[in-house]
Amino acid sequence: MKTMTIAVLLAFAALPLAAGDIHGKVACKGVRNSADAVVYVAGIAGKTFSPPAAHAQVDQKGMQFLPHVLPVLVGTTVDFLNSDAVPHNAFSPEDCAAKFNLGTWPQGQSKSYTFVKECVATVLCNVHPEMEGFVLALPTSYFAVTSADGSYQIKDVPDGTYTVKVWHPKLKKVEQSLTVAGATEANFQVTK
Amino acid sequence: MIHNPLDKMLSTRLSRTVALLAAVASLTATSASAIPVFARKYQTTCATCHTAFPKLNYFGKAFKNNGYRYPEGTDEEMTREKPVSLGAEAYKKLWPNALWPANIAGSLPIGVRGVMRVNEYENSSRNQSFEFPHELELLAAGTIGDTFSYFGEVEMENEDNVTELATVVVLQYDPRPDFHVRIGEVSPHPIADGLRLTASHYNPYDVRTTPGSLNLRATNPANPAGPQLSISSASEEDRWRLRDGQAGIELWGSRNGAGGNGGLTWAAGIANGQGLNDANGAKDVYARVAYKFSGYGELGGGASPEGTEFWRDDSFKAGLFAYKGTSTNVFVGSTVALDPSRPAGVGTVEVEKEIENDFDVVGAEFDWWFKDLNVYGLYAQQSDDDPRGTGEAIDSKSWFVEGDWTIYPWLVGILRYGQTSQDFAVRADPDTQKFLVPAIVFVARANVKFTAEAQMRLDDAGKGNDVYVLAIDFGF
Repeated sequence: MKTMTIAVLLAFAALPLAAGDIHGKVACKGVRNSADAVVYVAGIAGKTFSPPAAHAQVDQKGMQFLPHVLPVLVGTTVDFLNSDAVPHNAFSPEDCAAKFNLGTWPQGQSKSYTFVKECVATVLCNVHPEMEGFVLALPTSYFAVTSADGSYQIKDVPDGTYTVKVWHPKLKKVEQSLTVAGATEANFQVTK
Repeated sequence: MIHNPLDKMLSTRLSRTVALLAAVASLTATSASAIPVFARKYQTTCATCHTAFPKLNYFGKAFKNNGYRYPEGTDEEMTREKPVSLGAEAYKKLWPNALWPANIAGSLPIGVRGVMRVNEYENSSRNQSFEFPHELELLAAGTIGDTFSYFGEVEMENEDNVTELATVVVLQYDPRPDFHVRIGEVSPHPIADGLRLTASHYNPYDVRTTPGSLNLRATNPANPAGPQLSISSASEEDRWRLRDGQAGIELWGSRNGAGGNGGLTWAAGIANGQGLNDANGAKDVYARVAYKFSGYGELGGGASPEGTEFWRDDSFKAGLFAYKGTSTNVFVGSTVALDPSRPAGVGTVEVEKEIENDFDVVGAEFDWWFKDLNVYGLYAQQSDDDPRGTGEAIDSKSWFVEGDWTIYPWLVGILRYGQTSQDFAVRADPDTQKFLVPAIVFVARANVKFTAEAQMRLDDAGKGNDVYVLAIDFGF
């Protein structure tokens, strides 16, 4: 009996913590639609995340950075691909991204940068000043980008209480404490 | 000064040419109109900003007061036409090592306004006319990023079978809704003449500082000791009036009142006074201030207008304005006279007189909206210290009141009455001119309008000179 009890306890211990998701909508006021807001869980004390081995990618296509907003985990390497028939450059004016400048390269080639610090990095092309993109290097892997209607879903978030933040390229940041228990809805409004 | 007849003939031709060019250059448009560009930019109807175009409704005023932007920071959200970026926002962080970013309209921001008229004159010396067209305007307007806006206009207008051309360019810096800097064409008058619904202008705006012609005296070469010759003379410089747009710089702004309702509007400016090449070295200055009680906020917001109809905005606005300037006009004339000293026995006598007149205008305006009725008006008192070069000071008083009644959204009845009292003969008219303008506006479509209007004179000297106008006005 004792052996069986221990075995059952060990079996429960081997199961992952109960996890749900955070979903909802972000209403972005003062801009054309509610796309491109990033909803993410702020740093969790005592918990670290290993960056993925696979590189993330930003495509420079049609004279745009695609995706326009890319959230990644700190430590992630991002490849900047040029899919246009014109030369492109990628640089960031942000200190947190060491003001990187990857130079200029032709169609079909890519250059990489590893975001080693938590950062909201504006990425620009000095050949085409109208181009603008954003890479957010975040402390957790719990993040999502909103669609045009403002909806988002962050999957596989363990139950618990977190600080959830919302960032938008043109709007003020907001944050709130959120207790996640299974599927948890959280709606936000961000304004100028 | 005496010349021979050939000199005179050449001189006359030259004068006429200069006068024609001056007339072309001096036709002054005012940068206030219906601007179809914005209908495209925001994918919205003209009625969003106009009661019957070009008259602005409460929202149109707030849009203008925000520097041609939607109120309350919603411009980007409401813009349906994707702008062209002239630099990403992040370049602001790189300044001064990069250009400050901006954006411009995604398509050519030009609209067209056409005006045609049928004119019927009570005075039998003029024939009924199809004035097709009376006017064609190319209008451009928009924003450049968050803090600049612009307005441009090329206006071609028929004036007695001569097509006159006028151009307007305005660049405006809009750091805040309560503070704008406008450079280019400025309009010192408080009630925008270019936004009126009638063909006839507001009479106080037509009071000029100097007469159209002067009879000047010159010695008779055939009889130097006898009576002097009286020679008719005219001036080629602009004869100042409040109606005309001017080249200048204006600081202006608006702010909402308590609770987001009504509010304050103000402006102060410096202007040439007389044309693009000013007639003197002095600059004119002006200022105006007005406060709107209740109604929609001057910058947007506040309580919704009564019944939320686009032509309603229950409110009352009162304001004061002042203008101070110097007008300079050189009157030149000549006549052929007997001259025994000339071989042919005749010569030309020329006269010239420069008149420098310091003047000021002060006045008040009001604008009352109650349900479907809008009553507004203006009083102006103009003081000229020497308009005829005789040292005699002259005062002129003028006023008007107009009522616009929106019977249906597409039908507006108008009645305007005004008086202008001048105690000198700027015109060959009586001291007090009395104007009555009844009109009816039929808005066939949001951008097509027909106006039937009578321009009547009720004073004795003006009788027999009524004009009846059917105006067709459209924009796209």
